Amino acid sequence: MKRVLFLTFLFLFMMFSYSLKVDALVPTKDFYVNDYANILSEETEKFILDHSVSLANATKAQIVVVTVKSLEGQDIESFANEVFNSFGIGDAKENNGLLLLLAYEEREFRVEVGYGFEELLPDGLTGRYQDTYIIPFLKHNRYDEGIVNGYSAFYKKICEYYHISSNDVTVNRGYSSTHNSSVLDEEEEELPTFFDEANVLQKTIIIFCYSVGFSFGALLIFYPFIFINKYWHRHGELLKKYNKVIKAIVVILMLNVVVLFLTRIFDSNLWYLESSSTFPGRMSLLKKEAEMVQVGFCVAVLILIAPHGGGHGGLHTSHGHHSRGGGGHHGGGGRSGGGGSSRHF
Amino acid sequence: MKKGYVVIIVVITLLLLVVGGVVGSYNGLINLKEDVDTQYSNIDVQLERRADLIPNLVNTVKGYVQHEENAIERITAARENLLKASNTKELAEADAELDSAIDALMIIVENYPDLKANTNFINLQDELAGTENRIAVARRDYNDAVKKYNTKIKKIPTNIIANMAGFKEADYFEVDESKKEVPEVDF
Repeated sequence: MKRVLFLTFLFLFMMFSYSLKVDALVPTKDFYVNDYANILSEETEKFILDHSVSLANATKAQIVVVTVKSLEGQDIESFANEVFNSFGIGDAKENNGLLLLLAYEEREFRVEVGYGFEELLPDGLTGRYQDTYIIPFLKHNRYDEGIVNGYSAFYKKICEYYHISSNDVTVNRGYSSTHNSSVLDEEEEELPTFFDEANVLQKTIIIFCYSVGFSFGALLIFYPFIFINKYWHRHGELLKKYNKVIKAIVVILMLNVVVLFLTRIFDSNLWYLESSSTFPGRMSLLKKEAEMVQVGFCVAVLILIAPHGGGHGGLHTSHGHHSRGGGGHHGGGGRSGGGGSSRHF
Repeated sequence: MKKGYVVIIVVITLLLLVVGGVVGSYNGLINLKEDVDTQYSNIDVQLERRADLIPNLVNTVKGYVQHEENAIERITAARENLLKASNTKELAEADAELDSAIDALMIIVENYPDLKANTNFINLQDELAGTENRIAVARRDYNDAVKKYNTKIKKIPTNIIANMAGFKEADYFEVDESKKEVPEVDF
């Protein structure tokens, strides 16, 4: 009975600390192209995805395209900044990210620039690029062309900066109603395969390492409590008087430690996985799995040493809430301080 | 003998907990304070950046716009106030005044199509808008940091440590609503 109560408390605590971290907009699995407004064609999405992936592989710089149906009353500047920072666009150290955001209903476009690109892409330039390469198309509702054209312009600029070839994209200067076909050259490079055999193995190894490391950590922390537990079984006569009080204190302390420990882990430990990956969207899946294992271990250890230990029940409560991990972490990727420019079209 | 051991263990554990708690919350306060200072300097950087843009803006506009000395003077004055400001409150007020002065000028500019089409001016406009947005972001981050810090030093039990170590409340970067001026324009 007590154990059930105890576990319920723990569970509620964790639910609470998770629920504080869930963000409104989370990246799709493609990460680089997030067409929430559903206005981009398959080819456009593939074009953006392929180029962003190869750029990220070569330089760690990330260009992300997001379209939304509506900003729901928020202004595009702060919305873009939130998206930029919650997605963590760009490398965490270099902040070399670029976000192209289109708000469909408001007919607004914004280019948000990460800290690291402010020199390369000052606001004046992003404004001019929009005026020349993007807005003329958007005015005629030609979203695919406008976005591909603008994307290509920024892509070229960034490639120049990193001294890599960008001959596979061409940029159209201005809009012409007769020019119908899109600007991209269809020749694409081979995409590196990320989820082949080797990566599954990697996945397993990483998860294994984490769980082992974590269970050692957990043991280290809980060892004193195990000791105390044993001690008062043997020398009960002194402690019997205050039995309940002491046990309550121990339980509260344990809870505190657990919650503290968990928040630490979820906040920082797994972050380098995310930032080292060129596929953050997919990597966060792996992170979730690792978290699951960790929480599972933690709960298992707790059950083993909980007051009035032994017996069963409660183990199954260790499932169910893990899926809430993932989203809403901060500081994992590049950041922007609100640089960039906006246009109405 | 065994009783003695138990007492010693309990006392040491309690002591460790208390000392650990004090050290932990003191360090936490230091971190928060550091965060507030960093965010403040972020605002400063952006404000300075905007102040640097103003002379350029004034020169560009002067070439096209006659008989609007008032608006231009207002901007120049606001910029000087901003550079003179010595505390958070003054800085916030000067910043808000510069905001509305620039807004007023931009409304006037609507009447000068030549100026609006000038590439140099468009560039400046973008830089100004971008900087304004950066200031907004920096301001928000700063106020968030201040809120965290201020709440922490007022809460039990951290307030005891904050009092002893002399942590003072930080000022928000904001202007009294009543003092905000609506840009006036007469045509």
